[in-house]
Amino acid sequence: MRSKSRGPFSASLLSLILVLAACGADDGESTSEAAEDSANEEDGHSHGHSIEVPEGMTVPTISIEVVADPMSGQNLFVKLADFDVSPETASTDPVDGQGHLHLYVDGERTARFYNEALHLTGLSAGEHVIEVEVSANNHSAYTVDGEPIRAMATIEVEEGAGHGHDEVATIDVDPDTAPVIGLRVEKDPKSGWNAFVDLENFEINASAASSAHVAGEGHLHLVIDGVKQGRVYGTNWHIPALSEGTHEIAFEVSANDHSWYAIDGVPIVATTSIDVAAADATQPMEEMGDPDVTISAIFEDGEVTIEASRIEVELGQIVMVMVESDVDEEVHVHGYDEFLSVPAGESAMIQFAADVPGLFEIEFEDSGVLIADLQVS
Amino acid sequence: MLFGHGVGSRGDLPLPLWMFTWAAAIALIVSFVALGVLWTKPRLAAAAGGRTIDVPGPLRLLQVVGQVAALALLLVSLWAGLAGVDDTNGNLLPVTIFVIVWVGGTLLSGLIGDVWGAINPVVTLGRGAEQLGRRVGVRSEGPAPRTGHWPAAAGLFVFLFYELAHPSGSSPRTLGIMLLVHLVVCSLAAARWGAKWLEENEPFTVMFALIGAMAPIRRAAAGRLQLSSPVAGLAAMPIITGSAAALIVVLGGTTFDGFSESELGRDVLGRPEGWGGAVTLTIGLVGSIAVIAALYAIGVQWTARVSGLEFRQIWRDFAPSLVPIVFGYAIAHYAQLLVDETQSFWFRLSDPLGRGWNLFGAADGVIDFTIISVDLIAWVQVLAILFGHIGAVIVAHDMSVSLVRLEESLRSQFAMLIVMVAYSTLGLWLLLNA
Repeated sequence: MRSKSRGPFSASLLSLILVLAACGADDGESTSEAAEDSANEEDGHSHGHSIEVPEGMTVPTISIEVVADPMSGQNLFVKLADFDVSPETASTDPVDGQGHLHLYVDGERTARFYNEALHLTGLSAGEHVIEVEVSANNHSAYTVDGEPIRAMATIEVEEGAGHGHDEVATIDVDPDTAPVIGLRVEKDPKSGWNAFVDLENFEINASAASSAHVAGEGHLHLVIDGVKQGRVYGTNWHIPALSEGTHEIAFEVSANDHSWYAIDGVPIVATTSIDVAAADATQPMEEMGDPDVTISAIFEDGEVTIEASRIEVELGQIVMVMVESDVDEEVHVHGYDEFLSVPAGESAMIQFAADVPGLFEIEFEDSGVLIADLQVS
Repeated sequence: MLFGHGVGSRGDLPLPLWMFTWAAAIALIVSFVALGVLWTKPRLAAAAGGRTIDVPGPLRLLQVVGQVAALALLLVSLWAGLAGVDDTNGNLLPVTIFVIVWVGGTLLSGLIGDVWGAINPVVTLGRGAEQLGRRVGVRSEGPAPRTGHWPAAAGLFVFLFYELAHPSGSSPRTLGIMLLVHLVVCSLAAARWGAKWLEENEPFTVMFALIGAMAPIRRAAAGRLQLSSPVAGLAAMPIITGSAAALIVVLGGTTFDGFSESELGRDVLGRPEGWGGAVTLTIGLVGSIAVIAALYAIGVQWTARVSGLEFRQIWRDFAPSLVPIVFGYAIAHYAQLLVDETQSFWFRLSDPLGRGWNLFGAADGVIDFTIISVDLIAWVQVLAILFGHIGAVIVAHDMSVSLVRLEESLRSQFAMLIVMVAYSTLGLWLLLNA
């Protein structure tokens, strides 16, 4: 009796399971859908990643030139108009016409810089594409009609073009007219440190680097913990995050021919030391590189202003959340359990890798107000 | 706080469009194939009356252990709610109620059997209250008032209101006070009318018993267990007035939860805050329940017209066909939550009050969101809706051939089929727009 009544019922269920299993095997469908999805995602994230040049702001113009250094590496020269490079405000809120530059080598963003000249080293032999992008304070690229403002140069690096100078000579100068260098290093709100150099009796001349010595002319060398990092062709420099502990930052005053300016045989150098706390040393911050997606929100009178209430990112992308608030608040990214304190009237930012798929709320913890949903897929 | 299912730190990803399309198409095809090929005489009732077995000894022991554990968990959670930190994620109570009991109970009830009914700590307390009631002489001589499942339906609505609309409904303190009031009311009722009263009135008990009717293992007379195919038990399920309402309330609640988490829902509802937001959310909750009820009413009305039977009777008799849908919706909507938050339940057990204890060494655990892949979750969601749909169609079919003459049953089935297709498509659409 029982088996008789169960028969058709079980059979029909089984056949339906088979139908379901069969449709699950359709891979072609899923792939095309996935492609479409990721295309949509591109749209979604370019919003957060860039800032369209607003009305009333003159569109900055940029051009670059890359010249092989007679001694080693390449010298990159930037011509920039209608744009204010402002190291002091790096990693803060965007201000029209203000920001810094991003260097891309072969499509990869490799550095942030503040100068009109940059010394490139370590490029392998062969062709490389060098690009410089005009970035807002918050590291979003300025765009015109969605196109980032960038200058590009293609270079050919020759074999063996990368060895440094062997011996360092010194050039003694009169103490009265000798270059004077001062140094200040401040923590960057986002990552790493910004060095500000003051110079007197000295002219940085990148285009004369590795050529004959001219009195009062030359460039700087950055030395961290006694290890030379490279040439610096400007008075402002971004130092990426360092490991925990005390580090010695030094800028040497170098002549065009890379010999040291010295007074009575003592090289002219500005040195300062910085204490890197464990929290700032979190290398992941820097290893992550710059964010793929930036979420900016303003909290005022209990209301959130944000571009989109749902931010779609791809798994593994770096997400930066920037928040400005008129009250003391704490931002909580659920699931990731990232917390960010925002003092009243100030802004703060946090960066993390979106490595868990799902839909997560980003909210103001104290008032319980939702900022946005973060969709990671 | 999170609005949407009380607790949890991760929401569901939208279902891929191709999955939605396939699933909806299959639901539709299955429904119409069912019209033509399924049996022409009622079969489920016979299937439901399958074999009964004695409860095996170990299971009896397990039941006693379960009852003690459930009562202990209830009391510890209550204590945590009343005296622990008032932080949803740092306290044992919210995750216990919203995830372990509500979602876990639904899953076990539908898949295995009414586990809650076997270890019900509210009934355990009620038995004590009943004894006490006898001694102090408040025990009523006459029978309890016959109110059907209406009190349970009302109780479920209140629960869903706290979960989905109340401004601080997931705060441990609010929940603790609510739970205390609930237990006092239940105990007083048990003292007056006996613990048995709770089985027909306590909201969770009623809902898990209703869903448990579709499970392969059910309670039979004389303490025996009845075994049958899944879903078949629905044909023999005791339906009383208000059963359909209770199911519709829960289905409406899940629907609203899905909607309020969707992008569309976020746009429509804005950013609900405080009591003003609670009004918006309550309107949404009531509206969702109304939509679910209206769809059911349309099917019932049509069936009533074709069969010449009364609306009230059809409304009641077709209630079992809602059970697989309620179950499928719950699994589809809460599978990921269950996987994620069961982990945090274990962590919270080590520090139930959020005071920095570490009783079992797991208090500092962090949810591993990668235990189950998001693709698997999507499959579970789609299959849950589809099996819910298929179960509902089978039950509705069996009901209609038993209620009306065969030649009319095709026409009457058509109405209920459309209702089921509407429910399933709505469920899938909510997943698509998660």
